[in-house]
Amino acid sequence: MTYDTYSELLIICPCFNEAESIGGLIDEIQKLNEGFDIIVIDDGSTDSTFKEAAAKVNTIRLPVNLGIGGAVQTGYMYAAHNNYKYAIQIDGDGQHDPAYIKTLLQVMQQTDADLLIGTRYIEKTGFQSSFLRRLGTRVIARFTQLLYGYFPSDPTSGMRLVNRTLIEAFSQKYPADYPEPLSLCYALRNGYDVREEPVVMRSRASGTSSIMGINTVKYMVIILMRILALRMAKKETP
Amino acid sequence: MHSDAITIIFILVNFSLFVVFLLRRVSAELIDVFDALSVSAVFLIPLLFLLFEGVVIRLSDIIGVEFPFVIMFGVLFFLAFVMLSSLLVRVKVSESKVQRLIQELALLRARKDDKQK
Repeated sequence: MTYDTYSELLIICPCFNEAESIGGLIDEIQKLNEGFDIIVIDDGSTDSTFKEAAAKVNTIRLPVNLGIGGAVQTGYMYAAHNNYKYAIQIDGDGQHDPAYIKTLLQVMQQTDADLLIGTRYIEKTGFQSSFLRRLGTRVIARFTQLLYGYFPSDPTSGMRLVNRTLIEAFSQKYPADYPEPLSLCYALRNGYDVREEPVVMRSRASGTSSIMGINTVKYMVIILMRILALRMAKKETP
Repeated sequence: MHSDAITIIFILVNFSLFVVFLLRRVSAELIDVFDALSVSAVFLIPLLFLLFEGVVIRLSDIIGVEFPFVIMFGVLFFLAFVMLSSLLVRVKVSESKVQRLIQELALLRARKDDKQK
């Protein structure tokens, strides 16, 4: 597979120290046999993630750890440079089931949505995360609804498909921290068509979440303030 | 000699030494001229308060502050916070630029590696 390969959809896999799960995830995507291109963004891993991924698909190695937002944006920049029509984010920890990619793509093509989020909380099957996390997600969702008039059932879901318009927008501007709820609010603020589609998520194949303990409180305070700040930001024309 | 004159001389001497210190850093491009001027406020403001003591006393009467030097510290703190917020903005802008450069570098390196295959 060459760097300039063109297909309609690019699968962006951001990962940091996911050597245990990334190989299996790539195999799983390739077994779908849909011909989708995959780009793995190794966010400055200190283990063999880059080696594992580069042996199978195109991999971009960030020389330093930028965090999830910086890594995902690099994927959008790649997608923008290479004229992909759609891009979907699939986390490298194996939580997102690649089997849903085709379904999400079909829904996007049928509905003309700009951003389609794979949500685990509509059908409430599969991995549902802890009670506290669900509570936090609910608070973010209600706050988003209050300010933007849209209730996202799973605002922190990283499984999201975007079209060309948002690929270009996100390649230019994408939140470095807490990107999932903030990029969603950015899309809502600027009038993009945001929709959700139920998916089943799995528990992480390896690693732990960075949002635990006292970090949860910090996360909530920062997120709510950033959501409010984004509401006050000047609108950009889509 | 009047105590105010001694204070003014004391501040002027320190201010001169501080200006020399800052100018050396400006010439070595370690600090911008604008920032050097802003930092100099730590001497300039007490000097202005001493030179225009009557105005400050009248101002503190209007505001209802018992001790005029409270106004001086208030102005200094305010300037310090303005400088701090401006620095935070500059740090954030630099951070975004560095991130963009890292991303572009990684993309270019991937393209180069791919062409060499």
